[in-house]
Amino acid sequence: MKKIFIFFLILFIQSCASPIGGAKKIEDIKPQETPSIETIEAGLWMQMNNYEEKLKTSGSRIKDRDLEKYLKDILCKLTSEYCKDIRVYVQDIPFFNAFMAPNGMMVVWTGLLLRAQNEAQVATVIGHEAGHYIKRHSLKSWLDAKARTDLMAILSIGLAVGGVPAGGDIFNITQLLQAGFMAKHSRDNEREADKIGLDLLINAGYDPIEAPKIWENIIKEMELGEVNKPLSFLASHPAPKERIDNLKNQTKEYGNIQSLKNTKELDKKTNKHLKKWIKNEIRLKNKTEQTEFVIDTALPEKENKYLLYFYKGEIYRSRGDKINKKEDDNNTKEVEEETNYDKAISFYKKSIAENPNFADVYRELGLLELKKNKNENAKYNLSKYLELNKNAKDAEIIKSYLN
Amino acid sequence: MKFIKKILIIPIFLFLVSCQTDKTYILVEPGKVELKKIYSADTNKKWSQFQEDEYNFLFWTINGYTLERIVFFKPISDGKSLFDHDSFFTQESEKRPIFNSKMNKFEIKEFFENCIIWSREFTNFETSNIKNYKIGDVEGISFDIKAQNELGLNYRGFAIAGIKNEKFYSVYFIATELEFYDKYKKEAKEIISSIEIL
Repeated sequence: MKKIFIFFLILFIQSCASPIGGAKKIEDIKPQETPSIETIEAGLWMQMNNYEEKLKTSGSRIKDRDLEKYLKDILCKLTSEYCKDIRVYVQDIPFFNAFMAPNGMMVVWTGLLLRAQNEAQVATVIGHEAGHYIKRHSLKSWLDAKARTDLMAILSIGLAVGGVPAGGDIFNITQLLQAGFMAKHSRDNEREADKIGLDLLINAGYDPIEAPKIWENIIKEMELGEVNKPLSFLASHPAPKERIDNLKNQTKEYGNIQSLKNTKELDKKTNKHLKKWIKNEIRLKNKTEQTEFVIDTALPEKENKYLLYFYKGEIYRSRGDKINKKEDDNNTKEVEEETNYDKAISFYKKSIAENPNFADVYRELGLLELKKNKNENAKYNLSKYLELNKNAKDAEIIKSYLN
Repeated sequence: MKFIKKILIIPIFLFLVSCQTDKTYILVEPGKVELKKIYSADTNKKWSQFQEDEYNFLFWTINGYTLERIVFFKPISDGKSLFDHDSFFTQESEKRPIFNSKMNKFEIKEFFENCIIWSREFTNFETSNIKNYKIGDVEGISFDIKAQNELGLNYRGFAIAGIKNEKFYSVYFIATELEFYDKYKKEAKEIISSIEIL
């Protein structure tokens, strides 16, 4: 009852308010501009300010201010004019997503950072999001939704305004819906943000070839997955092929193009998180080919090969010892492939071949071999783990398996 | 007359409802306690026990679930998960972590961790310090917990887990790091170390 009341109250209040002080045409937001208090835009800002206050202390915000500062610096490199207006936060959520709130709060999810191969790709997304801010796309989306009486969207915001009580989940859902709705833009708005983003990217000296690349990778990943739709229910960004073509065509219009990629700079800032982010990715249990592709994208360097193989082994180990089946060459009958554990063991061995001093892989290999009753091999690998990792905190358990 | 009857029914109904005992929570007195014929444990304090058949766990608390609790999971068999409610993220609800009685000790810890993360009760959930641990006659493990919820509240705790007759058993204690962890740590340790699987 309370929710219905709030919903109608919101509709009523909205019907009385005028967008940005009665102006019909929505101008770009100016640097350091704030909306005047009587406007709908001020209301949207207020809601997002509340969300931002919660996000600041939220457990889902990554505890790495240095990484957030690095992303903010990229933003300022792209647009010094709006540098003061936009704050960048990183949320530990393993999906490819970033969104821009109307009040200047930009949120990047760790799933995006895991997939970005260099700073230029991250800058592509940040520039695109800044484009949404400059063009006031959230306000436009809101007004469009209102015109269409987008019941679900308005109701979700109504619930958030009403402060739905009880469990953390419900709180998160309404907040996420609220943020997601404001970040959900029309095709035209997406095109406009792409164009602005690419202008900013090129003017800052980044390599524009990287802009379509990040979207191409996302498309490839989706094609390998179970569903041909955005990786998260909120993501409005996975690009249609048209978007990639637009970016490529726009690049041709520029004469003087630089080729800054800054791969090492991004690696330096994200390396310490990779283990956790990859673990979270594996935990999602997407199709094995999809997860392998993500890990291939995240660890492309030669010196990371042993980790690449180790984590690929982890993908298969974590799924239990199922037999993989596939159709034969004529697509007429199913033929059996090796089991998950066989695949895992083969990846672990490749990892050892790349780096024979990486302790963790011996432990996983040894434990799997125990399950496969290859006791002598298991004993050798578990002992090797203890030999390489003299201070292993789990030594007691490993020793119990050795006896 | 009919109208008056209807009006009278309401207070009578309310009166009857108010007389019913709420069995969602019961008081646990100090001493040896049996929990649904699954576990037994000794306690020196009074605890409130939450018990609802539809949930796969019971818990004890003194100040409230979000402040400190000892959670006793009911045993689960192969192919089951610790939580079987649907997640908001429907794609993931089909991919809840699944128990396999062939899991090694590290995979038992991983399964527990994955289930809690899947439940989205915490935004951060980490386990560490895995050790061999005997739950009665069951060769199991113990490990420490560090967690944080969506509001940014820090938690600490510890857990035990093991497999008996191809079924997964687990109990954990968790409390807010600042206010309640130290206050109830000793008591929780004593309770958990007294646990036997029945």
